[in-house]
Amino acid sequence: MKRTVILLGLLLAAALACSPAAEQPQPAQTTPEKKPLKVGLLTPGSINDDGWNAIAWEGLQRVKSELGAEISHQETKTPAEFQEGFRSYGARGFDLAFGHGFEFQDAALAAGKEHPNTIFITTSGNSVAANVSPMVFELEKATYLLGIIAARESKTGKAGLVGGIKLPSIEGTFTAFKAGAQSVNPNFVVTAVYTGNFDDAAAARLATLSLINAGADFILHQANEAGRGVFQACTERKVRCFGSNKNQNDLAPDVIVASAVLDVPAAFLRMATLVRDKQFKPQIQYLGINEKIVSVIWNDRLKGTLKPGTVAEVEKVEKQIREGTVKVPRGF
Amino acid sequence: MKQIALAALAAFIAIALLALAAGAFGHSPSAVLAILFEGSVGSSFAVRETIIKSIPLLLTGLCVVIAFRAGVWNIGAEGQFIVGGLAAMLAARYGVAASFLAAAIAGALWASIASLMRLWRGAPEVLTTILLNFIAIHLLGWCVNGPLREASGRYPQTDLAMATLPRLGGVHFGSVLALIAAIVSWWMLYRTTEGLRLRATGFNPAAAKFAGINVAAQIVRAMAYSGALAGLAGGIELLGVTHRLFERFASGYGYAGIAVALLAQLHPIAAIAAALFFGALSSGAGELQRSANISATIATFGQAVVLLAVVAFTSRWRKRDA
Amino acid sequence: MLLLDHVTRRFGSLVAVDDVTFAIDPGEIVGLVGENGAGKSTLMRIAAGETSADAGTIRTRSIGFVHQHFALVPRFTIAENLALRRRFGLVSKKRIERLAEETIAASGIELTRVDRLAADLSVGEKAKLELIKAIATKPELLVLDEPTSVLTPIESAELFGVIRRLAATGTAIVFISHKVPEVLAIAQRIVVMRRGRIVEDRMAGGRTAEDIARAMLNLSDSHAGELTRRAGAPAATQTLLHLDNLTLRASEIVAIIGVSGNGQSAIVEAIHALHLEGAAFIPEDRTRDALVAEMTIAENLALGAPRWNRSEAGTAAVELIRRYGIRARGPNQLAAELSGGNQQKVVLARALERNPEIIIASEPTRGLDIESTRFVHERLRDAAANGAAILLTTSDLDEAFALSDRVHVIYRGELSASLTPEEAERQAGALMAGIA
Repeated sequence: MKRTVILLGLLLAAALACSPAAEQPQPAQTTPEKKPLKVGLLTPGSINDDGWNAIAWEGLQRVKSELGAEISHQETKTPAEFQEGFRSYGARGFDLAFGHGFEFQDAALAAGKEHPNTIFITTSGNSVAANVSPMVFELEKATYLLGIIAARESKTGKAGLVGGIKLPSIEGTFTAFKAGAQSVNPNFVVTAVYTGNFDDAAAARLATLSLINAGADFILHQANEAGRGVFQACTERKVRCFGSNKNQNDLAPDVIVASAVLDVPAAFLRMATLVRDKQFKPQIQYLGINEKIVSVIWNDRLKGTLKPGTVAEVEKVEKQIREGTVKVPRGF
Repeated sequence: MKQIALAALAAFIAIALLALAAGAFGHSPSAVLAILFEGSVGSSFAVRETIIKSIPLLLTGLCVVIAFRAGVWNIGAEGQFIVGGLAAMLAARYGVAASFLAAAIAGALWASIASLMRLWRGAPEVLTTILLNFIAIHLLGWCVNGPLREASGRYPQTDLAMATLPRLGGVHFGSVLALIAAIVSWWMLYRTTEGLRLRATGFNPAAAKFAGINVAAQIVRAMAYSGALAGLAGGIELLGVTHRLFERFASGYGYAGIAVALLAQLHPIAAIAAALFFGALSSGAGELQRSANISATIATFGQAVVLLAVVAFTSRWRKRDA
Repeated sequence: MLLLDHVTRRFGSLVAVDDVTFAIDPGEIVGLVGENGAGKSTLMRIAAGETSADAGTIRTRSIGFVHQHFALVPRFTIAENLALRRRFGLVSKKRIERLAEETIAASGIELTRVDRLAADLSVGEKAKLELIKAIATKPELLVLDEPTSVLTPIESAELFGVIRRLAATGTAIVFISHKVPEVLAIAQRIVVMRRGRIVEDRMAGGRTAEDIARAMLNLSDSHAGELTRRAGAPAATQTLLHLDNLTLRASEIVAIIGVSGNGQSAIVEAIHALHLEGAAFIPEDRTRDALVAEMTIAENLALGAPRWNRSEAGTAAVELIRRYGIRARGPNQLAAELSGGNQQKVVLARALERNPEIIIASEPTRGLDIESTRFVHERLRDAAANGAAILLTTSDLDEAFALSDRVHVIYRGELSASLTPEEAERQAGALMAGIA
């Protein structure tokens, strides 16, 4: 036993000795002439998730490549780590720190108080302070427009909505869809079904089929990964539908008329640009059509099959939303 | 004593391996060590963060120490932590003390489900405590999506708790409570009749039985103490750090407590050092990500290596098997 | 044919087999008898190569071994269990069933329907299957370790028939048992072991169960001098415990004797289950049931005490270590580090120091040297003199007769009537062998 201990001690010593202690990392105070923007990001999960966290990482990379910013990222699991991450960015003089989720609000407020020179932005939320703001994506402005398309093109006067979990943000997009549709046809019927999760494509498919059986001839989903099931059902039954969050037009090119697209990386870039240009104002940062974060992207293959005037009508209302003459209900 | 020295050695080896592993992926091992040091104890800020993370680890670690000392395999600190947090949230309106009392009682009752199932039906607590973890997680999910959802109804989280722990030099008062818990646990185990019986039950239940100890009652009480500590950990984390509940409230503190207890060789005082070590490892790993973009997996890796080294170097279990 | 030549085997400080030489002729049936722990099984396991010897020469023979505990795979059929001994080859259900039927037929043992699961067989059928497995290898020597312990008398008779037929074909047979009558019924030669040694090796003809039992238990006058008999039974006093025909009274020592495994531990368990206030136990298995090896002497002495205070317990332990002559470095030495005799003194001190009304002492002197044995006896006598009721279960008959006021003999879970030590000494051999 004693010999093992000595051996391992030697091994440890060797490991330490082999690496010259001189080359310590130099945090970026080396270029005083042109101080680069420093931007940090906290994600609640691994950035390799191909989803929520990956898209934030992509945003951070855009900030780096387009603004030449110095970036830093930490995967944080517990509120203790949220606070540690934010405080650390504040203490090291970062200009901007993102927390990717509503759960970062409390930590942002606490760190914001201690580090007034750093701006803390959370993805979603409603907490605002002098240097703390949430980004709120107005996807509902796009789903309002999708509602107009559905009401104009529907033969049955009915549309179906398939949601994952009944979250306020999801309900909001559905409320706007219904308002858009009823602005065209006040008697238009919209039915929403929630599957209870975001990954069960089979459940989403069944929900879609039941909506189609009940007469819906347009489907909008807000089910993330499970959206695949919606497209399957619509392709099987040749019922038209919409893509959501991303440009999903290629996933089912025969049935997807248009997608309501949310460009999250662009939102990160926009906030970083505001901070760099000292244009940041503490408020809930609504990011929608005006800011080119949210948009409706047509499926060019199906664009020609629509009734004459639909595309023009959508473009007209989009302009009115941008000018503020048409108000889209937020629903929450 | 020798066991503790070996555990410390295991921890050192793990750190060295961690640096070497980082080296294998193209980072300078010495730079990695420097950042780990800087990020865990290199500044007063880092020390504070390390301590804050160590508080729940120490309490869940003590939970596991007490249970394992009594020969009860409580893997349910995670669930007991969650119900502790829930109870503390509900009792917060009556103040901090009431909140902690509720948290401890809730944790103890939750753990007792497992010990009673063992005594009545012979269900192994290794299984029941894990299953109770899942139930607790879903109970919390239901609460924050349903009855306890914030008044604005916007996000699946509760409103802020109506009580807050005072802070001492940037660290919430839970640090003092956790230290007291460690000392009381030690005192209970090694200086009281209850502790003597508890340890005897854990080491040799047959001998404890013939010496006149009611082994079944001892197991129930040990599980309740154990659960109370994890429940208290949940309450302290709520009033000291998170101030509200949401679905990922526990996020692994219960399981990390097993690592703390094993590294501490099931000794309550050594658990203080073990909790600080894992807290420091986690803070250091955060800094590694922030300033060198080295994945968070490294902390998990370090934890696993420590545990393997501890199990390999300490002969406790080998002796028991012979 | 010579099997073992001056073989010795130790387990720690215990000498399980002590310089034993053993030979057997083809076709001979040898009964190997002795108390539990006398070394019978170990001796035969050495011969079969299942365990090693520390000294001596072992002649390799092909040996079939039927163990005391069944070694069958319960979820396998009879055929599959028999196929397990085959080394390689593809397995087809039909083929292994045909082979199994052939094997069974060749063994001369009756066992039908080879597609039945081992778990579904009766105990007797399981024993037959084990025997078939052992015979299938066509061994020179077949060892049967307590084969009848789970069988009904009819099944036993059937088994004996098989054994005789096998012997007639030239197979040597060793029949291990502690049941003397059945050994007498089957064996041509009887070998008696005690404490790792062969103490008797004679032909069976003309021997009685009683004199074999005496040899097994060392029931001679040679040791009686070491123990002094209790002087005068006390006047009948208060009854403290009554369990079936067992009555414990204050100031009285009652011994239960018998071949171990006949229900002594069940009686101790039954008394323990009563959760009597003021009862203290000296368990039979010191390391398993009496001491917590990982705790200190002081802590072990305090186990089960209503209140414990570390410093007071330490002081008390120093005093007990002195009074009980425990050889230890101090009260904080771990119990695991003590010798067996000193461990027993710790157990004794703990049991006696609380002035219990009832003391249940199981094999309190097993494995102890003469000095420690005498010390334990004196302390038990003192306790009785001070009013305790003592129940002693022991396989050392001299101890029982010397210490006790009354004696019960236990055989197959049944207690005999209460006997005086003198009556017991005359009748014990017959009662213990179950032939009285």
